[in-house]
Amino acid sequence: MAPPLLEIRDLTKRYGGGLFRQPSPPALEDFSLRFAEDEAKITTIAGESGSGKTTLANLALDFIHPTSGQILYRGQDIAEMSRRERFVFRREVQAIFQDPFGTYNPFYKVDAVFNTVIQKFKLTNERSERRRITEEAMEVVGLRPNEILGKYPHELSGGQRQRIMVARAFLLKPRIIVADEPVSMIDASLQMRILEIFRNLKEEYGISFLYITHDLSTAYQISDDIYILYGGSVMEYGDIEGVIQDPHHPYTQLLVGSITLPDPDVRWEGRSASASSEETAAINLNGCKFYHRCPHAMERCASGTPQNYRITPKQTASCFLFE
Amino acid sequence: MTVAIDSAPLLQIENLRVYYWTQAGPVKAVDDISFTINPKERFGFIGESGCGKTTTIMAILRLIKRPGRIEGGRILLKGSDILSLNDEEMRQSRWSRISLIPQGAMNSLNPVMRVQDQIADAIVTHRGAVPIRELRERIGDLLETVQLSADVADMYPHELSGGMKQRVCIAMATALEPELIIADEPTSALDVVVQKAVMETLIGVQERLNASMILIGHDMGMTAQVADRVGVMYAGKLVEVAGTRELFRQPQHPYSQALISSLPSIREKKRGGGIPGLPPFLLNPPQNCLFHPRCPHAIAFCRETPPPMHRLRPGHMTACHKLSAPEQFDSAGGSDSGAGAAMAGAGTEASSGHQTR
Repeated sequence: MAPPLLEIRDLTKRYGGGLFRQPSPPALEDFSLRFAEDEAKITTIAGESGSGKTTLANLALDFIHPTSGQILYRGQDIAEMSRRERFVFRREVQAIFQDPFGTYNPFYKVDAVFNTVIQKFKLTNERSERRRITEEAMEVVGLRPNEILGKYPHELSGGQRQRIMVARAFLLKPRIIVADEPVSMIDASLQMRILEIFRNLKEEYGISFLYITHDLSTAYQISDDIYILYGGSVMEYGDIEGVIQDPHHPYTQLLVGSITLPDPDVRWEGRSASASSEETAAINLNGCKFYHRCPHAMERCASGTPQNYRITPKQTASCFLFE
Repeated sequence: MTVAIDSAPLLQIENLRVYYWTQAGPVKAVDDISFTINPKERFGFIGESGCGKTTTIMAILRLIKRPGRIEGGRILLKGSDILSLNDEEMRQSRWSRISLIPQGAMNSLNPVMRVQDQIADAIVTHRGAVPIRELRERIGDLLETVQLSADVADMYPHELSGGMKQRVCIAMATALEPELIIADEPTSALDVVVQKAVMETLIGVQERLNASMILIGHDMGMTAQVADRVGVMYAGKLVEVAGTRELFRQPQHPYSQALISSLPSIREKKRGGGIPGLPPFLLNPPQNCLFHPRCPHAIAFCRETPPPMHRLRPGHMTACHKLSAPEQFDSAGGSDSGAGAAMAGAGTEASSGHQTR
């Protein structure tokens, strides 16, 4: 059987540390994930700031190196790839970042974005061919090439710039796109149009996405499955329908309960005023990470680390309540 | 709704116009908008970025900077026009009568001052010298109302989390018990769980002070849950004002409809979301109804005549010909749907024609 396209095995990342210093608590701990070769999917990694979601993105893109664990691309550990293999990996795993303003060099026309990747990855030498593939990529993301090419970044809106970034990634015919908060700086009314493009790329071109976000509403719209991270550990994993509509882990329940619905008849439920101390409650490093904030915390949660307990065939929660 | 009908409005905006004078000509960031805010009411503004929400509230605070200028209109706070105040009088009213929680407020704290000194600064500047013991007591009370413990007073901003910093900003903005609190994106940049908690604190303070609040946020879900009434802005115009429930349940203006239906929700999965086209380029906006290039219902009449603000029901206003002059759409007859479809088809990126002049 062919190895999975991307497999992450027990990945742990600690920043800092050194000979004389205590290693810092893990930014990401024992994280595993798998993208199949033949079936594209959109996987969401959701969590608050400090949950380790951007660390995961950087690891998956090989921008930083794991403390322990492995990332296998087509069965090959990316830490041990040859130049040639790495070149393929770099082409087939693409990134889209949060800030559609910061990713451009303001002195260059947006064409430079495309020309650079075409040169770097030696897609073509011919000018007419270069133009053709650029235009094709732009049309896939719903941009009109003649309105965009030849412009400087400041002449374009945030939504257009972010779509150009998607087009740039598409140009390389990637298998996986790692998108780190790709729509959080974009107007609410435009977010769904960008995410719709993701869904199209998945369905039409078989491109998988690692969609990293704090926004469960957009995740719900496009994802197939979702990991909920807290303090670097997975609290709950499952198909998107199950996790959002029937969250089991107390942390997921808190997150889902905090989503604002654009519906005035649904008021926020739960506590009327929370103590601010709760927001900053330290992550418990010895047992369940969520212990200090959990309304169901038990004695054993302080020191015992819960396993991923199966709730339904497609959903697991890391909480002793479901042992 | 919590609003008493018989009470006089706290804030009355009449035909406000704010233009930015650029080299290429005037940008009408706020163009002839009128609305009122009642005592104790929470009023929300929604609209895409660049539609004039922040310019409107900056005009209310008279903090418009060059090349921007308030070109006309009146801003009446309890009946007196704040545009006629001199600079010193205006400076005194800011914070004591109208206070602002700015966008990214938590970054506005001074990193080298303790929290209590910053709050004290605000109080002393406006109220003059206050005995130190009284001041400390005051600050302790303020911190308590925003659910912070008293020891936060002695801390520096870097020792606080984002949510705590935001609470300090709320404490400062409400220290002088203003009549109107203006909150510009008070919770963006915070984690979802914290957003909710901070918003609850803000509402608690506003209710305790019996103040009114203007809320701007790109999180329309938040606005839906918090505001009593909502105004929808598009390209510098107010296109619809209604009670929150009515607006989110039955938006009447085609723009409001598109905006609200484009919101991602965990209630239903949507396909093909978003509003076609782009907001207009304000140096060269479309004539008359500004929304017509993106509107699925647009007819020739929309391009030729500006839509007046039309009262549909008490408390529900909207500026759309389809609602104020439906007979025009009847007479347009068959061509209506044709024109509409053509507009919709041309809509995709066509309005970037305006974008790029």
